[in-house]
Amino acid sequence: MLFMGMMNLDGPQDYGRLSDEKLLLKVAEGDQEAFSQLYQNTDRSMYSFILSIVKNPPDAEEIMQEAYLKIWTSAAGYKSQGKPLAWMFTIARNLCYMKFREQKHDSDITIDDLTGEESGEVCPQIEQAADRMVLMSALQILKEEERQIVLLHVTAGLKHREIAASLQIPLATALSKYNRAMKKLENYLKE
Amino acid sequence: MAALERRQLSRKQIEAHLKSAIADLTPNVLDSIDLSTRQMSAEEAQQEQTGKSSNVVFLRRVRAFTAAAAACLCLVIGAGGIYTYQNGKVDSVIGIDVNPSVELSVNRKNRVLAAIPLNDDAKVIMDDMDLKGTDLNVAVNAVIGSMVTHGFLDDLDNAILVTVTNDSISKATALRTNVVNDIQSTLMENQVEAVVYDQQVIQEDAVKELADQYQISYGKAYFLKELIEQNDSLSMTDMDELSALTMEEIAREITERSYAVGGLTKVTEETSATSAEAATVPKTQASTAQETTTTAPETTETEPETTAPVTEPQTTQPPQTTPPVMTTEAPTTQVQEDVAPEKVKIDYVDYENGVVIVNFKTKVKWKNPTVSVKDEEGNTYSAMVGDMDSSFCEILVSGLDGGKKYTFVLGGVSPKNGKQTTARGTFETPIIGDGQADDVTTEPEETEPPTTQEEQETPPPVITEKPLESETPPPTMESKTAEQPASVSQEG
Repeated sequence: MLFMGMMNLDGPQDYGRLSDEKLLLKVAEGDQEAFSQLYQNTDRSMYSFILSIVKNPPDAEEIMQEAYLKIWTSAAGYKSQGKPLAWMFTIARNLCYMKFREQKHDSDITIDDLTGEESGEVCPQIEQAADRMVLMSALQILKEEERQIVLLHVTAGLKHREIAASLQIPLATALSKYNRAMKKLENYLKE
Repeated sequence: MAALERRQLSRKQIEAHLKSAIADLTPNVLDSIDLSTRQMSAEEAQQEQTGKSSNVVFLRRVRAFTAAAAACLCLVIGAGGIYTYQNGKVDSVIGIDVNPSVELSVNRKNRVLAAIPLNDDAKVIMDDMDLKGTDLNVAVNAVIGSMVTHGFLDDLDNAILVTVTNDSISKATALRTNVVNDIQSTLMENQVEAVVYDQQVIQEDAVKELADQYQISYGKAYFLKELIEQNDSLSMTDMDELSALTMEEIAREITERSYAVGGLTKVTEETSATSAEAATVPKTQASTAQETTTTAPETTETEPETTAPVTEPQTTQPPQTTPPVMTTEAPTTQVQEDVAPEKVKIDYVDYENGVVIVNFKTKVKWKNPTVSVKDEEGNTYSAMVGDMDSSFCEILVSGLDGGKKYTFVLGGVSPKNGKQTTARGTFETPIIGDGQADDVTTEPEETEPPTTQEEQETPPPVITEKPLESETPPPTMESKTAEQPASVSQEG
């Protein structure tokens, strides 16, 4: 019993083992530690997802911040369905589209214009030129859903099954789109 | 360098580069998130989410529904608009002038869109009458009936002017015929006689101004303008007087002063006279058609038995009681002269033993042939048409004196392709004997009588012929004009 009690008291250690869903439930209760852990677990996935939509790192960063704030404030609204990442992606996607609308409204330019070719110039953080070039290529030639699948799998390390669940698409679709996207990239980069 | 690297990249390398790039890019925003922000309760969050999502769904549905409804509405409005536009568009305007002047605007289906009284009398007859939406024939019947009821058309002299305005000549012609027929039948039902002038016109600004100036209907203005243009004795200064007259008074003026009626192109007059006694047949029919430019004029047809309210000054017609012996028809208008019907031309005339043989130059047809023979003093002699065919006829005549000149008029004869007419010629009897001698004579022909006094007074050319040479083919004689009778006299 004592051992059990000691295990329960060992909070920080426990957060690292908790699933995202459980963390999210704790966040809903106002647990900042849980939120911090959830952030560390999902930040790359969230950023990849957001970047795959907006294709612009500064915007992606801004939206990412807003998305996590939203997750913090609205965590109580999450219904446990075993897909916390899908819920978080939904929040992020809505914020992305809201951003598009704002920018379109502000400057009266199209979404395509907004999702244009700025990524290359604004990626000083990427140390390797080859990394930058590959990322630029991916953002340039792949479609939105292909970008999401590729980035989530490659950079966030999500499995295809998880991606399919998060994006709410069939697993076969996720697989075939991933393969097609990678072939596109290979061909493009070989030219 | 980059190109070189490109060629070397495999899938694994691409994945590695992407991973590395995102790892470099991914920001750490955790510290910048204000965790002191109040969290929503489960209910609030749920409400916000469902509210938002349901709002979004609702808005999407509303938007889709609105778009669909708008599309349907556009379709319905478009189709309905076209239908309404077509049926609500004025296709023709029919003006009816007696003294009351009424204007009926109809659509392409001949449904009345508006019935407008143009003067006070018209307001009286149109009182309590709602003709909108009715068929044109019903409206015409109602208007004419109301005019009769209110005493504007009585059993005395009446005149109605019908004006059809339509851009399409063929449509206007058909409409005019329909309206005139409707009016005639209505007049017949009410046992009223009336002269019906009908015209088809197109919109002209000048006429419209005239109508506005004199406060008369467009049709009446057009009619008077044409009347003035057709008659030199009239000028626009007479417009004041004429515009104030009713159609009946105008018709009387036309009759009394023998004005020509009609436009430059084609004008006839239609008189429909029906009475209780002779309601079956309109006495005269003439139609006034003013087809402004292209149509060829038509000739007026007048039936011989018509006494006809006067239409054209040039036209004279014998009373119905007069035998059709001396029926004279004259071209009624200049236009009509241009297209005068085919005439019967007499080649030459022989006289022998009380038989006048008339040889025609053109093929002729006969129907109830009649003949009269007169001498120069106007004495009539007993005569009858004997044998006849398409090239000649015999006139059996008795009681003629020798050495005198006689005139015959044949009726009931018509050219092969033409309307019935008369033919007139002269011949002389030989002095020798008692008038039964062989002998000859002469005469050309004439079908349509001279139209003017001047022409009648033109001395006929005289050709002489020796009687003994009668075996030889008689000389032919052609008058240059049908109106100029020629005679051949024989030297005894």
